[in-house]
Amino acid sequence: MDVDISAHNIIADMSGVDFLLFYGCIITITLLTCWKLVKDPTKNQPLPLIPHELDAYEIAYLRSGVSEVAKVVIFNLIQSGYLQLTGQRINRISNQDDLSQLKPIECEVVSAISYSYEPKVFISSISQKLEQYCAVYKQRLNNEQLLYLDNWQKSNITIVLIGAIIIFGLGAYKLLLALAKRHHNIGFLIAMGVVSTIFLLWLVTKRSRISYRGQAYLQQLQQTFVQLKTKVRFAIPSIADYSLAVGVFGVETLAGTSYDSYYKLFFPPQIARTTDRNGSSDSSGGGSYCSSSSSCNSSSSCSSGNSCGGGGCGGCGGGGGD
Amino acid sequence: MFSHLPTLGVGLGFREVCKSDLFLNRQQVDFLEIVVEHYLDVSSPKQEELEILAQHFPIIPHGINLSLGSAEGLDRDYLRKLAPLMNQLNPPWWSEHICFTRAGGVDIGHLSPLPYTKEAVEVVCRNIAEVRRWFDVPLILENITYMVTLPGAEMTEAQFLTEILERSDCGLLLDVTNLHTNAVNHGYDVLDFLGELPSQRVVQLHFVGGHWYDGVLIDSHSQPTPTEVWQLMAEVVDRFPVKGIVLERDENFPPFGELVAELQQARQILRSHS
Repeated sequence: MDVDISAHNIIADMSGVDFLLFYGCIITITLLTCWKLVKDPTKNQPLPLIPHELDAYEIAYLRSGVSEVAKVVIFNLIQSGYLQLTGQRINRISNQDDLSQLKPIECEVVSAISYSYEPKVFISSISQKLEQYCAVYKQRLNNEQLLYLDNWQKSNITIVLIGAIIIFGLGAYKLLLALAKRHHNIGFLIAMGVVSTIFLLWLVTKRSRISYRGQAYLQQLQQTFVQLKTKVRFAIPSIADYSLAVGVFGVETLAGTSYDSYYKLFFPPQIARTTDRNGSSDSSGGGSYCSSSSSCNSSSSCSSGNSCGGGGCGGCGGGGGD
Repeated sequence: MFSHLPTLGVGLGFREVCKSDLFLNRQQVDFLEIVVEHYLDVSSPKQEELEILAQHFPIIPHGINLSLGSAEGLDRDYLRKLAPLMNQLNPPWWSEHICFTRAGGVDIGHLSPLPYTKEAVEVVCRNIAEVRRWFDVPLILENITYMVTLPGAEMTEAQFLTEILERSDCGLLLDVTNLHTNAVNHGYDVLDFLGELPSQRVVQLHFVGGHWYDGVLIDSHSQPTPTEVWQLMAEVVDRFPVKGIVLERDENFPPFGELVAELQQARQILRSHS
């Protein structure tokens, strides 16, 4: 075939090796530019202050989205006596019909449980409904730039598209020239184009749903409230303590607590065994667990319980003088 | 003199074990006092902890190991490490103890009392002058407890403190629990003691409870504040323009709600008497 695209110009006249070197430079520059431009703009921003009133649902939403919020909501409803676990299933406690004390998202979950469900199935079925209740969390988190914003992703796609056009356009031009001149040593050219395209695709899809600022903020929350993990296992936590611990650290934090069976619903033991982690008999054989057996006042804002028990850091006791 | 310092309110001596509860009860704590030695030469997580604390609370650094009473002078290495911390926090004031913790290059690991002599006053004032060359943040000095009265005293404890405060132009961090403990163990009248103090130099108070052991009141920072200390605090707040009061619990931590209740009581005293 005779395609007349071979008008003499610096690129058309380049030898194969010279062009590959030139093409490599263009690809490198383009990829580096894209890499720099698609960076998260929140990287060096200061973190927001930890609020006076923490919302476990909002933190759970930041951590992992709607499904994690659903886990915290169900857990709170178990704590407050609206739901109970029976074996591997959750069901509603029949004499709890007064929903006036509940938040709208909690009402939605209670109302949706008409009979017994496996939690994972239930969560996946209700997630879409809960999205609307989580919109307020999403908005607040977006306002703080803790989630990766949609318009940043759009801008990333534009940047990557421009990069792809540059790399692809140059490569395709030389490829057509080579084919027109019946050259068949085009393997490197194609490989370079394909590899750089894969890199660009990775660059635009690797973003997590949380921004750098969001990740740092979540890490800060987890560092600040790390003692809650100990408190829920070894002390007398309030409902609010439990809720916040699950919101900040996930259901995993319930392992080994009095709500261990709720944890096991999502993290079942991988190998069938006759004893659990504490050496007692396996709790998967049915029966009711984790019902509303909290001994703490629900109105307490984490003021009860002994998280500071024992030891202490010494401070300036130092032999007792100050 | 110290009237330009801000009134911070009622704070808590920060201890890591209470961090979660502290943030869950942030509105109950006006400011924090950190132990300086916990943040000198520290790892990155500890540094991050300090940054988080400083973002959320006014911070007062409280030193233990500067050893202002050491006749051999101050540990320059300690001061060198302290300098970046002071720059980072830029506090309205900071505090140390009137005592010595190092002698002959050996760290005693204990806040040891000084003899109430002119020579000891000279030593402390000389060391404070050295500190002033490093930091221009106002320094306040704390009275300590002591098990024995050192012989050769040329003045009373209150006169000794006053002499140092006046000559070095420092404020007083009056630990009312220490005052009560010393008064009980050594049999003196706290009101006479208060009467000898320079009223305009009392900036901050410490309070907590100790325990009895073999007929001696021990300043263990391990018990709820006793009635006598609350009464003494009210008397002190009535007499002096106190800028801040800190609960200094170190051991045998109760549920955090009990600490909050003590802070509330101190706040009530501060409001009703100042």
